[in-house]
Formats: sequence, C-alpha cells, structure tokens
Amino acid sequence: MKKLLLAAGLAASLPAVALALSPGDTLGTIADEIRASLTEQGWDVRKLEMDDGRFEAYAVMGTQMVEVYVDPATGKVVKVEADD
Amino acid sequence: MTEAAATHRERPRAVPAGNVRVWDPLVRLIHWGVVAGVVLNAALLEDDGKAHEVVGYVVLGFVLVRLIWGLVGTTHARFSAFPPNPLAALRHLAGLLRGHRRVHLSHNPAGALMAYNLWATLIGLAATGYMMGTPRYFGMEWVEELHEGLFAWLMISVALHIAAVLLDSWLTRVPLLRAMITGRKRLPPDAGPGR
Repeated sequence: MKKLLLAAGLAASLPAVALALSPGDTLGTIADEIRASLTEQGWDVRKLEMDDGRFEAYAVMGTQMVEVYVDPATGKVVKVEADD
Repeated sequence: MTEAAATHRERPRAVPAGNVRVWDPLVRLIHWGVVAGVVLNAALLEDDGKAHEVVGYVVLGFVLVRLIWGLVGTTHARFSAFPPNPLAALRHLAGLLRGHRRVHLSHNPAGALMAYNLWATLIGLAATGYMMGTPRYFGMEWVEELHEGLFAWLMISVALHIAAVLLDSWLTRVPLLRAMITGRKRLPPDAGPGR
C-alpha cells in the first residue's frame, strides 16, 4: 500500500511521465504549431521535418527520446516511436 | 618476437619467392567480417533499425580487436610492419609512376595509410552512430550529417582500396585478393626486393 502511494505520489510529481505522447493527440497542422505543442508539454524538439507526407519530429525529454509522426491534415499524432 | 622474424626485419632484402604466409586467420576473419558488416549496413538493413546498430557495434568490435592485434599480433599484422607514414606513401606512389615494382609482405606504405584511414572512419561511424541514440545528441542534425559524411568517405575509401588492390596485383603480379583469402602471398620468382 505504501509503495502504491509512493508510486502515485511520484507519478503526480512527474507530469512528464503522465503526459506521454500517444496516437490521437492533437499537436497541430503546421510545423510551428507542432513544435509549440511539443515544447509546451516539456519536449525538447531537436528536428522537425516532412517525411512521406507526414511531419516527423525528433524530441527529447530527460532520457526519453521519441520520434513523433503527425498527419498534417488532421494535426493528430499517428505514430510514436520511442528510442530506448 | 621470434628470431626468424627479427632476422627478417633486419634483412628486408631476403624476400622469399613462392608462397609466403602473411595474413594470419584473425586478420582475414576481421577483414571479411568488416566487409560483411559494411555491406549489411550500407545496402541491406534499415538505417534506423536495431539491426543496423548491432551490426555497427560488431564492426567496431572487429576494428578494436584488430587494433590490439596490431600491437601483439603476428609479424605482418603489427603496426611496426606498416607504420603510418604519409611521406613514404607519397614516395611509394611516385615510385610506381617511375616504374618501381616493390613487393611488400605486409601493406605497402600507401596501403598502410588506407588501412589506418578505414579504421579511423569506421570508428567515427560507430561513435556518431552511438551519439544518435543518446538524449544529448538524439535528433541533432550535425551528428546525422557527420555520420552520413563519414559513410560517404567510407564508400570513396573502399572504392580506392579495391582499385588499388587490383592495380597493385597487376603491377607486382602478387594476387592480393587471394592473399587476403588464403593468407599467403604468391610472389613471382623475379619479385623485386621489398621493404
């Protein structure tokens, strides 16, 4: 029980973990919007480019490294690849 | 070092004719292992996949073992048999133009520079590849460009290496490709003295 409380407390104190990106999240339909959304969530956006008609963002938060694919038509995340 | 090898180093003119053992099995395994790794990573595997990463580290492992072997390995595999010497390499190439045909049991001075260049390039590729997977350098464009630049340089180097092996085999009539497979250099009976 104590451990569970501790885990809950940790999760609450680390919004970064709670705010993990997932498909369906809306980030924006243009590069600037996507960059701003990710930055607002605490991500350090390293690179943002067009790849096969989708935006591909390389972002880092702490030790988490992700490649986020965004559909420019809907502004939604279509895929998140986590690099360990 | 064995007495025979020491004598050989002091009397470089005593290049024996016939089939001479030059490349030990470890040198050959590493050479062809690196070739296989480079072909896999350059042409067959996805650039951003786990397999590309693993193959890259295996190639790095081959190179590091080869570097240790350069210190403690067999006579012709040691750095002392082919010290990096750009001036000697230039003299060697100039000599070729003047019709000199020196046979070397280890690498000739230009080949030696190529070996060091290939190892340095492969280490640079592994280092930048590793960096791309760290939070500090993940997604950094200059790291990716450096990795790609090193790869382009590796391809140029490999092309030069293959061309030089063919040219040298033709000029000196020592089949070098065969030597890297069998480990033996077949020296023509009238082979000039090597250094």
